[in-house]
Amino acid sequence: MHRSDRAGTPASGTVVECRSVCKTFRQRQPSERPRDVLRNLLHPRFRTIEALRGVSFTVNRGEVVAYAGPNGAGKSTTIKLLSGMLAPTSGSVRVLGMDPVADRTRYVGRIGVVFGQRTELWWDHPVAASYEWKRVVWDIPRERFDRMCGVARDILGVGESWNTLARELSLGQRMRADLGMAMLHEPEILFLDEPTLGLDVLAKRSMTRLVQQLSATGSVTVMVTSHDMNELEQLAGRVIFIESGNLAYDGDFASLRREFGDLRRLVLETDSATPPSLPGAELVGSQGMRHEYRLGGGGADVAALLRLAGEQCPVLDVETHRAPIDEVIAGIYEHWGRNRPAGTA
Amino acid sequence: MNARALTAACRRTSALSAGAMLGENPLFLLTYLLRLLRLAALLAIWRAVFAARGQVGGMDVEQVLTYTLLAGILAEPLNCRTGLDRSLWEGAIVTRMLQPMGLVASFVSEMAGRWAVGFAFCSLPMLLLAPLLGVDPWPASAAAAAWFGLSLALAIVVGVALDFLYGAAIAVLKTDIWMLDGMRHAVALLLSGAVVPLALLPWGLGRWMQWLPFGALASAPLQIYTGAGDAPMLLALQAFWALALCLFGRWVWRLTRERMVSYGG
Amino acid sequence: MAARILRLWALYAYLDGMWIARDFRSFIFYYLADAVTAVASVAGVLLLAQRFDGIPPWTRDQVVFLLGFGMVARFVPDMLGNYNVLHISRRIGRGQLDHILVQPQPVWMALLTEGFAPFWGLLSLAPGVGLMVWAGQRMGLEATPPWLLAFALNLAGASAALTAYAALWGFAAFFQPRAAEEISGSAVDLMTDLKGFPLDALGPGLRTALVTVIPAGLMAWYPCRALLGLDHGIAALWATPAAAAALCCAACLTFRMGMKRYAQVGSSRYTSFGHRR
Ligand SMILES: Nc1ncnc2c1ncn2[C@@H]1O[C@H](COP(=O)(O)OP(=O)(O)OP(=O)(O)O)[C@@H](O)[C@H]1O
Ligand SMILES: [Mg+2]
Repeated sequence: MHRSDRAGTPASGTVVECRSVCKTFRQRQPSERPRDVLRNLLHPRFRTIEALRGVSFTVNRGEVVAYAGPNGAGKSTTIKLLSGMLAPTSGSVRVLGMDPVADRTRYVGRIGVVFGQRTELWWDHPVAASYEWKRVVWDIPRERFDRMCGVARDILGVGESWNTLARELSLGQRMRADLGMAMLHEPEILFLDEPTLGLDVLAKRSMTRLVQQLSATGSVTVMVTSHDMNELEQLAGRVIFIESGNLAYDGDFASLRREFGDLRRLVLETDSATPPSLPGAELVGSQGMRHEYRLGGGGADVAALLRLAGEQCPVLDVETHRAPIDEVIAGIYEHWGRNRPAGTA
Repeated sequence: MNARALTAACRRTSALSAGAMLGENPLFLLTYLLRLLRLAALLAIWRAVFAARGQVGGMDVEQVLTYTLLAGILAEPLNCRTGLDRSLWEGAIVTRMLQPMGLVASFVSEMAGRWAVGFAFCSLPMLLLAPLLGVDPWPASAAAAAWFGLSLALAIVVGVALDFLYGAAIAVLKTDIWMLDGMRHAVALLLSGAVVPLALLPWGLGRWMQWLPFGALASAPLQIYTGAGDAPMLLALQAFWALALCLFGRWVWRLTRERMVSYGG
Repeated sequence: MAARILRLWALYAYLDGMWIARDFRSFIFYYLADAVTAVASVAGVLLLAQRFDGIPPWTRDQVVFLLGFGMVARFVPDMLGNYNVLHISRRIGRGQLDHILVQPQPVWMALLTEGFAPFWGLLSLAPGVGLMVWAGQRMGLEATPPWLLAFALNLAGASAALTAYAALWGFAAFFQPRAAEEISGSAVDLMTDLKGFPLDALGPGLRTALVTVIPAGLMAWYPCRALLGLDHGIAALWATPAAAAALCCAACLTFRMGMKRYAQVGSSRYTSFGHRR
């Protein structure tokens, strides 16, 4: 409709601001027994789901924020709230100084949204036609359109499926085309909900590179959810964890590792199949002569451990590395799972 | 899969699909109210058309009213829709092919589940309301009733076979279903005699149209029920179409199976 | 704003044209299906009117005119209502409104333009007009300017009534996503099924229902009564447009309420079918 006026917004500062946002849903809980048919019809049972329970955070311009949490934590709900599809039950959401629901038409011209499992492409048309459609509906100036088409074709590799019908694209090709399309109007903020769904290693990398390039310019803010923690750690400096609708962590990945135990690994190769016993390090497993240990937080003294091992048998080779981020996260999720209060969804 | 297991699977599928219809809320009953309204309107129009006439095309007004009532009551079985077209279009057919019970059984039992709901909440009330609507719901004779049962069964077989052929056509043409659906609805309604009995068409058109497979869908059983047709001849014709279309459908289906799986999704 | 609407219509016309003309076979097929649908949907009543020489109190020619009117009245809603825009319950109920909400334009503008497919349904316009002209000539209908004005008004009213009515049932999906899909489908189908019949023979209750709750009568029967002089008086000529306006208001109100609700509950049954395909 009206070209978004970018002039009015400051080059830095807060762009996303969520203040004690709550979102509740009602879900039908029908009984599956045939004799309950009438009850289901006339007196259905509901349960209330608190998808978000008072979440507050702010995001500054140019930040790349990973938004993570287990299934059903409320990630997609948050993205919908931020993109103007849903209104919060209580609390306030302000993005770019606007209310996403009330100022929707003005607002969505300045953001881009991608849901990994949905597509904006026209099913029976080539990708190029969908892009043209977007140009007209979003009222994108020709120069910007051509430039961003170039980005989509060169960096995301949409060029190869340029004239292919959307219905005949593979999942990954479709995702790339969708990402490229979301970028066409050069949004100031990108909300990506599982954007790497179905992408292969290379495509993930190019998507990562694109986001990094964007964030390097400092003008685009990105909020991305994913279940692939490695990818998130590469992409984002900051991660927000949400669990059962509560904000559980907000900070950078390094402090996350510190806070939840920076688990490191020590691998020893010795000349015997019996692992040396090392107090303070937990044996994870042995493969032949290779023995892997888990080391607790940052304080473990590796030199002392090596000396101790050397006293028991000759050590042929030593490796230490950080535990994969997935493992850190799995540890966190498990911890949450155990401590989850009863009766919540 | 043995017969016991198959029956069990079909029953479970029917129950699920009936449950899915019932599951949400009683609002869907409005659909049936609309059907009743349509029936009432058609009955009134027939009365007006026949106002000053005795018999037309071998049918009197009573017969036409019974015919229309029954067409309303049995709207679903007289125009089988298995949902195959949608399933093909959406690519959901692949999961059906993974079910051990077979495509036909799977679709038909699902359809039966929907019918059961329609029967309980719409057909039965319509039948009970018949006297209020001033229509005699009884078959022409005991023999007609017996023949009618057989005829209805054949009509369903023909309907399912046509539905599967239609599905094969969609898969081969790779076209979208909305366009074809409108055409199919209009054509089937006209040619099957579900709205206007074939005998009442001008220029003896009906005599020719009854030989088409569509006639086996609605016209034949309804004619038999109202005693307006020659039962053995109609049944033989229906049996012929049932056999021919099933064989043909099997053949086409084998031929196009591959295209169907790759279609959609 | 008008310029934007025109620009969007041009865009969708281009998309539609590209789609129809993607290959010759589908092109032919498309129009064939269109023609068959158009003919089959009126043939029943037409043949009945032929056999019984009209449907009392309508003469055969009057019935023919009525059928033509009904066909043409459907033309505009059908042309603007593709991709389930006319069956909007399917889109709302399937969570596809989200796709509209990310577009930087009001929802009504998206709805007004997204379903535009001018190359579709063309073949129902020609026979419809043909039927009306043919019947009009046989009846010796005088197309005076006032009559033509009344005709245009009633035709627009009938189209608007269908659109608003379909929208009303469709917006029910804001409140009952699943049930509304079925009801809305049947309700619109019923309009199509009954629009070709003269409804004079119905009892007063039924007749009222068919011009109010389920305004199938407004699609052709009521406006044609007025236009063909079966119903005298100026009020009859204005009834259809007035009813259409009322239905439009009701649809707008429901839409507003529905959008408010959608922002609260969203949709949890997303499928991508019936949307942009
Ligand atoms: N429209 C809705 N109606 C009812 N319940 C909903 C709706 N949308 C989401 N929910 C519920 O809210 C909770 C949060 O859902 P959400 O989709 O935000 O999870 P998520 O974090 O994105 O999970 P995932 O990782 O599986 O995508 C879930 O329990 C879900 O069942
Ligand atoms: Mg999600």
